[in-house]
Amino acid sequence: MISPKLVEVGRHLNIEILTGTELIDLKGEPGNFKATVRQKPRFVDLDKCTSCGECANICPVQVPNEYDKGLSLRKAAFKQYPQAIPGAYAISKKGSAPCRVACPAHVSAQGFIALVREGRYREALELFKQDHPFPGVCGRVCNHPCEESCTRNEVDSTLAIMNLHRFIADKEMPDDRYVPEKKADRDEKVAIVGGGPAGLTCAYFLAIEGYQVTVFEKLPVLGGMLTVGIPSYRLPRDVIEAEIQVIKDLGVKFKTGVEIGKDITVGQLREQGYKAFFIGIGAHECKALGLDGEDLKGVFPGVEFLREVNLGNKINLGDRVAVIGGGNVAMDAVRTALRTGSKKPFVIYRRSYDEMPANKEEIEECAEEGIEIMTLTNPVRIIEKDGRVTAIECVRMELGEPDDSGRRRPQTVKGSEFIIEIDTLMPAIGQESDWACLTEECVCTLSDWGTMKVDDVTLQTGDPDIFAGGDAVTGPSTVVEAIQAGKEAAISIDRFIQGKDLKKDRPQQWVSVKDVDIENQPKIPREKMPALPVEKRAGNFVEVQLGYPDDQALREADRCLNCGVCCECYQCVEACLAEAIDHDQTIQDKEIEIGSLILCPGNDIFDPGTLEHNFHYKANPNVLTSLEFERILSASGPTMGHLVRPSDHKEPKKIAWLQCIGSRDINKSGNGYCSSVCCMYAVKEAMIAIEHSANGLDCAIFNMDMRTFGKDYEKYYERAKGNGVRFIKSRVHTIDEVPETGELSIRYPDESGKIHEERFDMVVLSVGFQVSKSVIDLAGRLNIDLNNYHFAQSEVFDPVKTSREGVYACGIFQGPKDIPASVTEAGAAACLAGGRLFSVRDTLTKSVEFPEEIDVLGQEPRVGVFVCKCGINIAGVVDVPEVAKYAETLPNVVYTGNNLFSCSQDAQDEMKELIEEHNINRVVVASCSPKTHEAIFQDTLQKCGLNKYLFEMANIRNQDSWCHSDQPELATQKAKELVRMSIARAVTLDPLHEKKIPVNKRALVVGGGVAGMNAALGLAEQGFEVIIVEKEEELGGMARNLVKTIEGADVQAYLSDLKDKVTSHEKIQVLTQTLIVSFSGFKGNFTTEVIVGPGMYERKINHGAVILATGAKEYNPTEFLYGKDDKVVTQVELARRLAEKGASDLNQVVMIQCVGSRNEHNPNCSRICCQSAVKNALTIKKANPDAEVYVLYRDIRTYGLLEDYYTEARKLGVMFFRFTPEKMPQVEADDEGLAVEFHDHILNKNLRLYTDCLALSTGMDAEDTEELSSIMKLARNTEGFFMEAHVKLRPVEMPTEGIFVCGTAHSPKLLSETIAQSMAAASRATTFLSQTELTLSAVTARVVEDLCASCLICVRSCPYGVPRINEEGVSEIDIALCRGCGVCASECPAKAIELNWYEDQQLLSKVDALLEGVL
Amino acid sequence: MSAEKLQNNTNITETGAVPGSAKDMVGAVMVVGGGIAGMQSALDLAGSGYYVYLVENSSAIGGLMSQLDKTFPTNDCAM
Repeated sequence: MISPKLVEVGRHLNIEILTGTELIDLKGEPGNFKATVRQKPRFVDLDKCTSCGECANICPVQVPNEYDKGLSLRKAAFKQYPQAIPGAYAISKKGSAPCRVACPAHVSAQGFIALVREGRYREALELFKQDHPFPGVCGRVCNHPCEESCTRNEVDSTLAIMNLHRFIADKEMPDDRYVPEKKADRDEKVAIVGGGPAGLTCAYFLAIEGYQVTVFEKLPVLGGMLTVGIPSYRLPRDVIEAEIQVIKDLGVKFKTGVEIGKDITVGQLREQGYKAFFIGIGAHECKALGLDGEDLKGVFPGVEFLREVNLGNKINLGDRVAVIGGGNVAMDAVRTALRTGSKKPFVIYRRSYDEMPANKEEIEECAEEGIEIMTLTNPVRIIEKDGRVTAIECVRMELGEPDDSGRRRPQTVKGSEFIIEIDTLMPAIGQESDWACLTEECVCTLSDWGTMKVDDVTLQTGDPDIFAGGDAVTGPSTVVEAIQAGKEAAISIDRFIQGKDLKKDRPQQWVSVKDVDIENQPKIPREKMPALPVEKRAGNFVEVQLGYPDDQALREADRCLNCGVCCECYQCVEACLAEAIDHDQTIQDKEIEIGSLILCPGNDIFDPGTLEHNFHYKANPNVLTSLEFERILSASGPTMGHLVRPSDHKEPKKIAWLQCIGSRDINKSGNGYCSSVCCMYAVKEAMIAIEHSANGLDCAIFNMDMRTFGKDYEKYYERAKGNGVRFIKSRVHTIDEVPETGELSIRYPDESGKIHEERFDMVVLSVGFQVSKSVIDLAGRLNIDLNNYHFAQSEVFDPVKTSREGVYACGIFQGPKDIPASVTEAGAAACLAGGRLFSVRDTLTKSVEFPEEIDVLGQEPRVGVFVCKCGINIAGVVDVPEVAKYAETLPNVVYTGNNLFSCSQDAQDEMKELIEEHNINRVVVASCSPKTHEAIFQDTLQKCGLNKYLFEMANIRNQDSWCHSDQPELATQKAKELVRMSIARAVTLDPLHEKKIPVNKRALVVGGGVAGMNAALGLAEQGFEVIIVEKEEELGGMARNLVKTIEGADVQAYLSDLKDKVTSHEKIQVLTQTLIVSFSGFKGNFTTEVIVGPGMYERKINHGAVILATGAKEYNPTEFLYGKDDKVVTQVELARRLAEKGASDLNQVVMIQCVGSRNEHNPNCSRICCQSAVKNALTIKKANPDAEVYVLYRDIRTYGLLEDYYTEARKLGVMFFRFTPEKMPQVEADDEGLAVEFHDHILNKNLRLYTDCLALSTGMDAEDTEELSSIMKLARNTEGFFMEAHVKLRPVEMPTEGIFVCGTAHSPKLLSETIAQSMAAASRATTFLSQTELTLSAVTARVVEDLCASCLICVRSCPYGVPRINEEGVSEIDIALCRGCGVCASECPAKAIELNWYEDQQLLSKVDALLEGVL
Repeated sequence: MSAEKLQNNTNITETGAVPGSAKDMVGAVMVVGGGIAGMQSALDLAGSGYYVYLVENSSAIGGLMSQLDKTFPTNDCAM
């Protein structure tokens, strides 16, 4: 139902849809506002996306689907629902995950982990390598800042991100390594000085950019500290070599054993044509302890020791080795010493364990290996004998105040000196760089710390062509920081060589996601890394950490919380053939000039999770909200419309609905209002659920009052009762879970107070509307007043105006209401919003101008065939080039081609050129459904000057590739046949011309009550002439009898003002005492004849639209002694009496509801009578608090915000007694007075009381419009109210175009609702009257007069009553009225009727083409 | 619209319908919310000669109604 409206909005030239957008601010004046909007990135280009869905197919991230209220999952790349407008996909991305932000190289960790989870290890590795060339190396030795920032840490423990990228690196087969794709080769040469991680990374990224890169390394081996600093039991050599091999494969040249500054200088390299340099020489020289005797024998710096061992040299240190320091070098040195044969290597560290900079794993492994770490100990003196170290004197330390690094400063404990005998002293307290490479031609300078001075962002040194990074710049630091430096330097060097701005858009800003839901996450322990047993470690360099096997890796990957939602794996970028994905989109603010503003932001539904104790909504899956249940019933929902309960997928046998959850509830939710829709949707859901259940279903709806007050709703309620739905008068406050069965037990009292207990398989909570915080914030930003429940504040007689002029509210932002009421108010808001701007109408709208049409009549058909691939939607199954080739062989075809996406803008432009180039005069597109795409292609035809009816589509997607995806060959065959059929039809097509008819810009309003007058004003203020015809002498209608509204507004004052406005308006003519006697014509061109005034003079009115506002009247009761006893009055009479005489003489008042409604006289509810009773009861109680007021009712239907008055009435002591139609109250006049007897359920006995006044809440009867309906051919329901075109979506339109209805002529309603509806009718009529001409469809039926036998079959079969037998005795079809449905053409036995564009021969040509050669 | 008519219409200012002069007015309306109400307002306005900006917070219009299965009282499919 909503779908056509979605398409209409989506295709409307003058509606610009801004999705992902919020209104931030509104400045300026009514008529000329400046609105600031903020648009979130969609990450998909709306113009390019063809909605093929490949991005969602490839996306590895699944999240709960909001559209199914979390009952199903969707991908991060998604379309809200299949029919969504805009049809483009979107990507949910909250921001970058904290792991990615924390990683210096900004590796997309969430991304590669998501791919691991899907078993797509290769893609995971490729993604990693986009940012970082060493997943295996860093998978072993990284200090993993990513893990420190991991959100999972807040749930249980951090995700093992490092272990997972080691896993994907280890998964790579040695003979099939991934080598990134290189861009085009470039001539420029770049020299990298130093083959460590920084230099290698820089080389890697520059090679990908296409540069000629040479790495110069002083040592005989590559890898820098990775190779010579880190022992191979932590980082095996083959892992480093494999990852360096990839860099070699990228074409990088390596020169080892070459020392820059000595073997060759920077100056010489410049002469050789090197355009830029990267210096990443690391820090390989050990810092001194600063003690006397460091040059003695037996002092062996840690890095030097590691280098020697790693280069394969044998070193004998002796047994007792004292390693000084707490970093990774110290740990590596001591553990290496253990492996090279020292019996007792140990560590001396001056602070405590907590301050040790080494990786925690390494410290733990030291302990496992039996290595002692002496913390809070510092060497102070080296003791020697014969030039050799023999012992070391140490002192104990304690921790003082924190120093600059934030660590607590160690202080000497006086007198704690002690001596340890040792064989080797191994300082490992830090390293520095050797700058011999800098010869005199280099002007770059060093810092006081001996590191290179560079620009923080670009890493450029004092020499513009020299860049530096890694330990050489930072001093000893981590591998990943060196990698990041190499990567940034590569960007700088690329820009430097190309002469671009080095600093533009740098450094990249990374914003971490913050609002991650960690509350509802189950705790899952981190997977432990398998390790080599301790006993197998000594004396060898076998790798200690063994890596995750697949199952552990998958389990660990599953722990990821998907912080950013989109994981930035960029698989969608690859998958999208239309190149629509753009991950670089950012939030955009823009200012838009507007004349008026309409607010209809909707609202949330109430969250029953806040009443968990009562309803177990979160804990029990079989307790659902009504909206969740709606999704379960839906064919597109999580169970495909199969009604099963969520806990065990069994079909339920009993379902209960609990009404008023979060509505009519001041105590718990604070929502005193009635949500107006829940009773009806509960009835609907119960009825549909019964339809869905093959084996019967027991539905019980627990309610206080059933509020089925809308037009024809009461009949629906009665139908549900007939279908066996039980309605139980009880408000359920608490339900209990039945252990192990999944059932829910409900205890409830019946009306006599007796307690019952029943078990149900499912419970549906009928949740009401809840104003959302975002809506309250919006109103706050725009300075719009809200009422006590935070709905938009409005006045009774101005229902859609807000407190700010020029800003209007409608829908459930204005108050709780159903769909027809929302649609109605939307029209009212449009009426006012447009009304104030009518002087600038058509100034900003766009229209399309087409070139003059080419006359093709008499031309030989020249068919152009365009076969669409629809990405892989069609081409993945059907051999599209083959189909195109086939089409070429068919008669009349002068051109065939195929497109990736025929509907894309560039394909349309190309199609236009081809049509013109090849003089094509018939076009066939073989693609998807004409329902969605025909109009797009027809537009293109018109742009070429071709008549749009010279077009035909073959649906080779929905009707072929989609349904035959498992049989590609047959699908290709079928596509050929579909195309052949379409070509055959195309050849038969002739141009058709749409007739344009002028529009008479005058409107006729029938009825001069509140509805008619408001409708007339709505139109007049848009600049249209209006004639009101009123049968009475005076304007005002039923409102003339009313005093005040329930809110206290003065109806007569309003009416008098309204009448003044109407009668003084220069565009409005009022004809009173006027009757319509004849009516003819069609939309835009009606003629109505009237007889005016007591003189009965005739007048003919030409007009373009009609608004029916004939009103209704109060039911005239025949029951309860009305008219026989003057104490019996109607509520309208009572209101007037109260206004005139007050209530001081009333001691006992009884009111009886539903008089003349909900019975045989009128099966519907009259909607207004409950509030009338409450209004008068309140007036009495306020005027005379001692008066007793009894309201005898069936259901109190004070819907929406009216509920507050009902609550107030009960507070003031008005007494309410329920009765049933079986036990109606009895009224009789006896000697004592007027007696009312009624049944009290609680006491279970009849009560009888005497009353001063019996007020009958009489319903509304339709005005007598029988004659009018027959003159104007208007449809009415059995109660005599006019029938609108569609209950939900066209509530003010009559089925005949150009005729609109409003007010109580449509159904009983309040004044405020009448006003809204009349403005809505004016708004719809405006869409007609504002056009200068109307275009009639050319697809209409046409009678071949000679063949017509005037058999009347067409007259009877037309659903719109269009054909008539004319004076010549043949059928005549008015094309202005014909809807082109084709029913008459198919029914006509004489074949006298043809439907344009679907003529018999045009359809038969397709059949002939299909059966060609068969028959 | 002819100049004369425009003149007539701007006279309506006295009734409060058109504050300010036509040259300051903007013939566009913003509708915030792409549910059924917003869609209807947008269609009415765009059909009456005003350019409409339909502002929607989510990625598609349709609102709550697009999530419904059937609608009362006709049991028509909501979609």
